[in-house]
Amino acid sequence: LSGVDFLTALGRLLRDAKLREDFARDAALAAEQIGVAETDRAAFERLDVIGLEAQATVLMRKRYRTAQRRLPRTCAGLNQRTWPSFANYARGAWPASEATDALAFAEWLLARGDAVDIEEINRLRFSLGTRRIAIHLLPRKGALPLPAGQLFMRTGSRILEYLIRFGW
Amino acid sequence: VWGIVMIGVGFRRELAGWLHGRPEGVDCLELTAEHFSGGGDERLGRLRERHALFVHGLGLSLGTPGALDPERLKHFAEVAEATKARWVSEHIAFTRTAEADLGHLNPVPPTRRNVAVIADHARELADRCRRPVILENITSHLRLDGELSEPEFLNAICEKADCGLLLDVTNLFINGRNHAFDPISWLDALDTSRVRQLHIVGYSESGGRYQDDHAQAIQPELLELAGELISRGTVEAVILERDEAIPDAEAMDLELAKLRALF
Repeated sequence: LSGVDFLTALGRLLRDAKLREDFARDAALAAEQIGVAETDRAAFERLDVIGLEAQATVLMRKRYRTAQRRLPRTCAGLNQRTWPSFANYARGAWPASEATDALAFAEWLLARGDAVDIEEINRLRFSLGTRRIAIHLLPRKGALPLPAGQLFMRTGSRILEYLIRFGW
Repeated sequence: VWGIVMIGVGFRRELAGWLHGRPEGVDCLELTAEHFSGGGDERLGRLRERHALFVHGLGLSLGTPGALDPERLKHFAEVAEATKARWVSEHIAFTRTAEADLGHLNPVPPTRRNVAVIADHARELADRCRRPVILENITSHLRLDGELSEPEFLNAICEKADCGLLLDVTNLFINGRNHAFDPISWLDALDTSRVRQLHIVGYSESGGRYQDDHAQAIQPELLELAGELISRGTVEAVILERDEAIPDAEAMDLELAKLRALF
């Protein structure tokens, strides 16, 4: 086959909101831009725009639930803004793994000035890196008199994490 | 007529406490291959001692043309072997393209070409796992055109792969509502003699769209549809798939009691 096959082209539509908007405006032009194979072009151009958007939302919701599990405190802090924020972030972002997705979302929030739980970001960064040990000083929280430390250690495939409270 | 039909649940870590108190009340468990670290995962041996097991996959992407991912296939086969699974199952769907992992099940066009792709992959899975394979219908908001209707597509795949079906009652019901077709007529067009296992869990509805969020109690209309399938006589196991908003022990017991009442 010369050109992009049907499933690959559908996959591009499902993970790229801008491309779906282009497709909704002019399916033939979008097929041309993607380079859909001649044999698959007619079926591709017949894709239902509403169904496509609904299916893309299902995929995005699944990513969202995974990010929530990895960033529970950050998401709790965002409260009602969590899903709209994630949907905004995810429009054109498709990281390769669940952890990189959650970290990219947290960094996107951080860049916009939203409150992000630093312990969760540290955890994700360590799990995605190769360092064997890392220690982070955490800012003071609430009534605690001193900052805390967050220590990570990698032993084989396991990661150990310790939270060290100073002052008592 | 039915022989022994097993009633069980999809194993989730959150259900472990409830399951521990019910070794007699849950006949079987369906384990998701991707939820275990591999054949050496010590949980597998413990579960095998207490329940009949099936292994279910989410990410082999049988609908993607080309070779199956060798690492995923190896992992799946190791889990199947370690559990001594009665059979293994995957979806009639794609989760990966040549470019990206989409992380979720998506529909494939019901074409002769895709019958061959999925059937070949199902045979490869059966060979690697050395166990029967059954394939599951998915729910999708996107309906794709093809040379075949969906029941014809499923029939052709099962015939070519010589495999069974895992009929997800909830998925069928949801698709019927979202795409305006009658599930009973759909079943009439399906070779239901292939159906060995059912999946069921409550659906949700928002703004006229039905969703498969695995978070609701089973509704009566789903039980009715499951009963229709069971009356056709080949179902050997029914699995409750509760993944989200997992209720307390009493409510879980009630869900299984609803399923037992079907027999």
